[in-house]
Amino acid sequence: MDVLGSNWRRVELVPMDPHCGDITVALYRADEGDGPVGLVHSYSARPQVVERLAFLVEAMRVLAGFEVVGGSAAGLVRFPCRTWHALAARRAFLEAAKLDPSEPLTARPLQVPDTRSEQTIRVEPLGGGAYAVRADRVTEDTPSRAPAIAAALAKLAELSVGEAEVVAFPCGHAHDALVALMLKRAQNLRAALREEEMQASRGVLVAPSAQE
Amino acid sequence: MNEIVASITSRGRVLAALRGEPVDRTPVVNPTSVATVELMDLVDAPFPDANREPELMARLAATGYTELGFDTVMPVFSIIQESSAIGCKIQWEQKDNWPTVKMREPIYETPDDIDVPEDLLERPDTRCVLEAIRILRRDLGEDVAIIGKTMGPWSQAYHCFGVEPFLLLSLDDPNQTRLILERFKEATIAFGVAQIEAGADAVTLPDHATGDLVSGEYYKRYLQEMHHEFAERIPGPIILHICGRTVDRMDYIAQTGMAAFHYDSKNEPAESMAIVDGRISLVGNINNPETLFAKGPDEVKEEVWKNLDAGVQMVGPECAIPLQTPIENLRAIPQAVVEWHAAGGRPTTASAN
Amino acid sequence: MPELTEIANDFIRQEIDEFVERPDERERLIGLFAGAKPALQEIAAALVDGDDDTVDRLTTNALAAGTAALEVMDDGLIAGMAIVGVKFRENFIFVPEVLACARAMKAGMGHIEPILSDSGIEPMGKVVMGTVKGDLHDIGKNLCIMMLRGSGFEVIDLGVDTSPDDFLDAVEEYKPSVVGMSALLTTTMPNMGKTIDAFIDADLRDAVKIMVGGAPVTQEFADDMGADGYGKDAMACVSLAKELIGVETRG
Repeated sequence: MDVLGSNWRRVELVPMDPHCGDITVALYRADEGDGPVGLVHSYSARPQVVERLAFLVEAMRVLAGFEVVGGSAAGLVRFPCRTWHALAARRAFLEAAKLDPSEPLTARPLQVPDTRSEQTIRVEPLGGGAYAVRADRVTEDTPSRAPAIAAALAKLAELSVGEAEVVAFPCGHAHDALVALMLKRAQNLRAALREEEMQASRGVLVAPSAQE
Repeated sequence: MNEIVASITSRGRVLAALRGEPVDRTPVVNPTSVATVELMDLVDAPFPDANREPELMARLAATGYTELGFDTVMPVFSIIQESSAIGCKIQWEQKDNWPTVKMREPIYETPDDIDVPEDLLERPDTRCVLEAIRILRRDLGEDVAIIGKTMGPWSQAYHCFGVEPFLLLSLDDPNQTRLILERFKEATIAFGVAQIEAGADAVTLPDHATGDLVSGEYYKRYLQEMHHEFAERIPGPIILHICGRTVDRMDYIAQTGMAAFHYDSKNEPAESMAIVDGRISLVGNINNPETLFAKGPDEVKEEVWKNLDAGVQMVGPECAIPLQTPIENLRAIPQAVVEWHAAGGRPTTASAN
Repeated sequence: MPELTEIANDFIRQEIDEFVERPDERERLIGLFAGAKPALQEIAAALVDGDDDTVDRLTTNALAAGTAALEVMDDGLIAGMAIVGVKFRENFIFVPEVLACARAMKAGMGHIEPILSDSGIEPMGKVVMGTVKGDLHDIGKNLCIMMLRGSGFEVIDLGVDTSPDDFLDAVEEYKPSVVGMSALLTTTMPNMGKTIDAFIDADLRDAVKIMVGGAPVTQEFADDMGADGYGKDAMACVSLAKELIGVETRG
């Protein structure tokens, strides 16, 4: 296998994919004529890899609303808005890589139960890439979790936050599946960021003078 | 800037740069590891096995030349070989992390405890390196330079005694400290000699008397003379590696007779070159955690050009790269060197594209 | 304002004269030592010299002579460490010397701590301390912890390489008044800001006061990151912790 050409930049990496013999799987990005495109790729040549990459492509389509370019075997995906949402793309890839390939792929709903508050968090599409975050069963003892979750969604997907817990994609296009995917992670932003941090610190060699 | 000569092999230009002789272009050199998890997959040679099995070690090391375009290959990815052979406890980890010595469980307390085995070079982890070097020479031929690695006595002392206990001893009892260094010194020399005899063109010698921990005077007091002895007794060029701030000891290092000093990004290229003043070559000093790991090819190239502008004789990462470093950033290093030379100096935007 | 010449101990006078250059630090240390008992200045001198046996002996003597444990700690041990901190920051001494001084401090504290514990005084407050993510240096942090405990604080030590999440978990578990973050590398300092952001995200920022310190950290950096306070050395850490919980400080 050849190393990818210099037009590809790596966006995210899973160094040890537990669902496929600890191979590396990565999302790369290049800027083509009609907009940025992602590539789901692995340098491993083990026999199961082709199937695994096809699953990841399909997972990104179903769960995050990516369009598949040129058939799933090519590994190419793009956002329907033809722009690139960097953090959201990374998050979508990481979430796809966690999925058990033996389970059926289903899009997530735009609402989740919030166990911390026993509220139900709903996200209403408002059009033009904007979404309103709402919480049901708000009481005096349990204030609405909607503001915290709206802020977390904004952080996870680089959205703007407006009045009344309305968040919006800068591209102005709808991304319902992506929002639904992020919603669960937005309930526990700490866990999401902790996972990213731990990942990034793996494999950094320190001199003996600086080791624990 | 080095004089330009007719095109020569990677190995030829590295050896010339180590001798301070003219080259066709600045060599791209890795005195420390450029292994990544993606390269492990490419050649199916994952950690930890690639640290322990010669065939896997050689296969992974070769990618530095065949895939990244470096002028060297360096198969000793980690720093545990001698310590493992001596009997330190090692945490082997998995594919995505480095094996390390368990320095919180040191095996020695006094110099009398030191017991470097006579069959040091027969132990699995040292023997693996020697065999990997032979495989690399067999498979890659004479075109690429092979760099080995032998740990200096200061670093071995950290591993075997623990960092804080050893540093306290260095203050409490300089005589005992010198004795410890003397006893580890022979392991450094034996392993270095064996690697040259196995086919290595040079050896990296990490000895972590870093400015982040100890003064430049400490280097002079404890290590300078010993490093000079290494330069005399190891029959090949030595590249000394010390992490961290080191400008205050570069003058001492430049007097040891070693061929090169691998310096890190905490030191400015131009200042470092001025201090060594042609008495030793420099290798470095592209930042790992911020640039190579976290940024992109453009930022990498900028750091390469800064080194070339200063006349640094060999360019490369400052230390063993993070295992998740993107391949495109590593390939940007030789690309940047070629662009710089093609433009006759720092490229403008037009000449770089 | 006291003068350098009013410091009884020759060694301490020379140390301040030679190594303490910043005017505010000079003034503070001169004022401190000029008012300290000679016997305690001797303890400080032995500590700065890294002589743990002498610190041990002189601390025992001072306590036996009736000097209060808190005074021995403040004017002998902590004051000595203040000079060590300055010398280390300015690269006059390095880690081996600091380790020796810390060992001397520990020798003295071995006599002080039991007295303070037995005094039945309630802990002044609870502090969670850690070196930030990616940073494995802990000497400065450990000195601060020693002094905080000696000053009557209960301290939970999270160790090194402490992620924002570790800090948050600790705040939820131990409910401290103060969180202290240390960094010795310029590359890890930004993790102080990330930790503070994490507190904001988790809606816990108002639950604690956050103080930062470490050789490369500055007041300006601390302000930019949104910390509540900055301690330039271990001694300042104690005053700052007291200030943050609203306790009046001596001197």
